Amino acid sequence: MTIVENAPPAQTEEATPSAGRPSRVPRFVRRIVKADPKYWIFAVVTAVLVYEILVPLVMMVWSSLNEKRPGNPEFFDSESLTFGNYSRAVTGTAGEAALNTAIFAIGVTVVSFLLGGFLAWVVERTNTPLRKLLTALCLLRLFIPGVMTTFAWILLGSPEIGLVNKFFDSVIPGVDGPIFNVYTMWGMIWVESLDVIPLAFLLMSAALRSTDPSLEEASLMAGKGRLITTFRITFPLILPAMLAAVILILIRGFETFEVPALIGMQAGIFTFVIEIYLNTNGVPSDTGLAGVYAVAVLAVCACLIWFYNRMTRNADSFATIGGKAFRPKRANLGRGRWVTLAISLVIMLASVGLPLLVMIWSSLSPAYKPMQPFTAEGFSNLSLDNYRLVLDNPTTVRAFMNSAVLAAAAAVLIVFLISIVAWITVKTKIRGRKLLDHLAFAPIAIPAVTMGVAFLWFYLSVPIPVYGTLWILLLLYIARFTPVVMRLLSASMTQIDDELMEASVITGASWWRSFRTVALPLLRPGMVAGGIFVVIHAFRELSASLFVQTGGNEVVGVTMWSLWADGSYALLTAFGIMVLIVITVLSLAANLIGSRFGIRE
Amino acid sequence: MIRVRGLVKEFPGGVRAVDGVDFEVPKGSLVTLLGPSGCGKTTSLRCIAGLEDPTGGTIEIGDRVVFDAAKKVLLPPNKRRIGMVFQSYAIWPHMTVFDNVAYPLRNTKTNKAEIKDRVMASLELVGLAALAPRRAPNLSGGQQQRVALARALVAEPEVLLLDEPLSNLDAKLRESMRQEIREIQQRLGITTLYVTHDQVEALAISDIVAVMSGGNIVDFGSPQRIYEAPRTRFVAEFIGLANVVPVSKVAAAPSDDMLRGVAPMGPMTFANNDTGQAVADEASVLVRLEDIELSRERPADQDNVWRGTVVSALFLGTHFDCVIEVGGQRMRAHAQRAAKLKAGDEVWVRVPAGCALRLRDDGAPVAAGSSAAADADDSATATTPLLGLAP
Ligand SMILES: Nc1ncnc2c1ncn2[C@@H]1O[C@H](COP(=O)(O)OP(=O)(O)OP(=O)(O)O)[C@@H](O)[C@H]1O
Ligand SMILES: [Mg+2]
Repeated sequence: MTIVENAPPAQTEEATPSAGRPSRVPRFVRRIVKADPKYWIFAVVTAVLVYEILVPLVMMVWSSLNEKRPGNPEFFDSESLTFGNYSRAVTGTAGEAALNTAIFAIGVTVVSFLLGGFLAWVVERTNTPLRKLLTALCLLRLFIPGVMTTFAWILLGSPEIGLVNKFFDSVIPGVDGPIFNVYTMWGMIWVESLDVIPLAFLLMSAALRSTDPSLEEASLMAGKGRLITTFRITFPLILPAMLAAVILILIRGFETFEVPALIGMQAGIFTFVIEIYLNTNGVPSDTGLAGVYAVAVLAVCACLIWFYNRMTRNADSFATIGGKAFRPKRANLGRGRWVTLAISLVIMLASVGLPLLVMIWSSLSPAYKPMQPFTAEGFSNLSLDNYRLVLDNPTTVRAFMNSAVLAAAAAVLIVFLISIVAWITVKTKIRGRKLLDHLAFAPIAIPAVTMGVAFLWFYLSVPIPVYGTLWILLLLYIARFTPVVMRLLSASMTQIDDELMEASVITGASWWRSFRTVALPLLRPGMVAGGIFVVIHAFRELSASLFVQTGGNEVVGVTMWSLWADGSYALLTAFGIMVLIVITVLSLAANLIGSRFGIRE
Repeated sequence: MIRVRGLVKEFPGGVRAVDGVDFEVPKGSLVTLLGPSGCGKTTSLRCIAGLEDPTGGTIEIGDRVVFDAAKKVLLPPNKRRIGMVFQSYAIWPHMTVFDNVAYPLRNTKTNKAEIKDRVMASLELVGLAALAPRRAPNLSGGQQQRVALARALVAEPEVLLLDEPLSNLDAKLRESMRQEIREIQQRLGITTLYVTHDQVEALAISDIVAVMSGGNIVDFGSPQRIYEAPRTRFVAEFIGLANVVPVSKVAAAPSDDMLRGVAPMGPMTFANNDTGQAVADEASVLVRLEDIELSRERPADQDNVWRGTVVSALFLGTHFDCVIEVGGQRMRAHAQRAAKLKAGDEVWVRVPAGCALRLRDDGAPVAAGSSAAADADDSATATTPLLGLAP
């Protein structure tokens, strides 16, 4: 159907040229030129997403099938294609790495889901005291860069110097030698789980919060007890959301870098992610093998996301997700609420309290003695010297500035781009909007390391001069943080009543004006949340940046990694604490501004 | 003027929400689309507004064709010069009242001072000038309704569309608002299409009522005509309270205008409908509740007078709502407060011949109540004593 600008008057119906009249300009060209601007925007946005996501991916798959390395002039010849890399991987260490990766990812999922789910239940569904504090601590944990927390747990749990071991050694008689060794598979699972708990907590509390309490009350009215109700009504209702959460955590387990790198490499436990890292950055490098591992992780995550999509689609058929704000009933635990509080505090102590304490202690300790014991002598040694060093060090300062610029730019660009995508997929009926939806959400299935490698190879082999600059990091961050912002914004967009938009179009406003004056302002709370998400994650991003950064375009995450590799532990902790303070202040401020100007949460 | 011809809207999945609708809203008049839930009123309105792409037919607004399926004409909604009031009001919560109303003028070449004048005039019209600087979420339902109306009218659109504008208000407010809307409409002389499922509202506000059912228009006419002489049984039962009496052995008496037949209560004289339908053996006859006269004494009249028993009498304040059994036929009737009827009383029932109307039964959709009518038919054949026709 042609969209005409000026309708012919009714009297001259006969004179209207018939649409089928032959003409020299092909019909589809005329159609494109005359098309509604929203089709143009649709086309541009789709092109941006394809370039950002599909192109590097194709590049990576091509590399895994290639004898030549990216950058080699023969790289694009089809003759150099081979399955050799795959057979080399299978006959090599792939089996062992696969086993390690699977045990690690599944272990992390089980532990963090149980602990995070428990916290979510405590906060959302019980009358345990200090619920607000528990939520705040979980959120605070999100801000701490992974290198820091992993390093903190090395300080706490290594067999010789670990503070936890020393504590138990001296306090409990009969315990001799380390009771906890972080350099084991269990140690890795424990440390990583503590990092994933906030994610599990957020996903599960969203699920618990969105369950209509009247469904449970109906069961209570039917004479069923609370326990039966929990198992027969609550549990099945949130099952789809629970499985979706499990899948997202599992993906996190597959793609995580810090713990396998800081602990696993030392312990000789190699996962896929470490194989990719070593084969890309090690000497000699083996891009073919790295490509194979990257494809393998991608394949597993893509399958998981396929299940996730099925799960969340089915979730719609349950009456759990509604626009209405429910007020779920809290279980009165009586005395038991002190028990749940104690357990929750112990979890938070392990996840936030101890690491933070160790980091602060270490950052204030002398640079030559970052792991000095908590003694009176230790206290007398404390100083702010390390912080001064961080501020005087050109690398850390530059890294901080780079990350700040990148975080701001990525946040603005992603939020703007995805606002348009969310509008198109939620509020218009353009054909192909489903494709756009999938395209924007697809990167969730791409592990960070895979994405980093794909970007590295793509920009090494095409003549686009971004390698070695901040631009490649910006492109990378946009691809990497798009999916979560997509989820946030399409959820906010869904909540905006269609009639608000239609009311604007009816008054004669153009598509663009309606979007700008009605949709965007109403979307602001979602946009602020999306922006905060991007800023926080851009500051702590390491696993993808590690591959594309070179001297000059350092970022915070990678600089921490280098500080760790150089053994500058005191500097590392001081830098980490400073970054943490900045991120926390920034997001509190953004939240305040957002809620001041936002219409509702 | 709005002219709709053969409008069809089929949703993906094969739902035909609108199935060949024809009607016209004459310039300056108010037409109501009235019908039960799900009959396609909103869909028709949204097709006219351009918010929904119709599948077939033509739509003209003023002297412009805004949609023509055959000629592939489809004018986007922002080019149609329409004012619309949405069911949810759709007041933008992030703007003040003034900004909401000024919005339609801001993308035209109107200068600031003129915008201010016109917005204030429009707010004046709905009696909200004092609230101009107020933020929109801090308004009551009725005030939001007025803002929505002011916003729809401010750009002096060619036509005004309203989708159940009063359905979110309480009963009292609904009554005063509908009067106000009607007054404003008449003062401005704006061509208006009004959607509602409330028949009282439709009768009170319209120049013309179009009754919809199942995606079709089943009756179209002035409120009085629709009420007094509905085309079909569906319309009769949807609008107002109605008894529908099955009559057999129908014959002209004495001309084609008046008919006689045998009702379950006994012989009955009634008016033929004006659609030129031929006289058939069977007929359904409409008797409005308020047209039935009840009395303790036998009325002087001989025609359409039967003796019955009160089954129930409900006191409603202004009158009694009674169910009377007459010769096996149950009829609902209103009795005066003074009558002091109670269950078991014997009464005389009289229906003036001019107030009993033959309905068209053919092919028209029949909604709720049809099975009850069928039951009544059965009992009628079983219990009616076969009295001879008195020509
Ligand atoms: N987007 C849609 N997709 C499929 N079917 C639809 C859609 N919108 C409406 N329908 C169907 O079309 C029919 C007519 O809907 P419409 O909204 O026009 O009814 P209505 O007369 O306005 O009813 P109400 O008084 O309840 O508002 C209904 O059966 C409805 O289920
Ligand atoms: Mg409707």
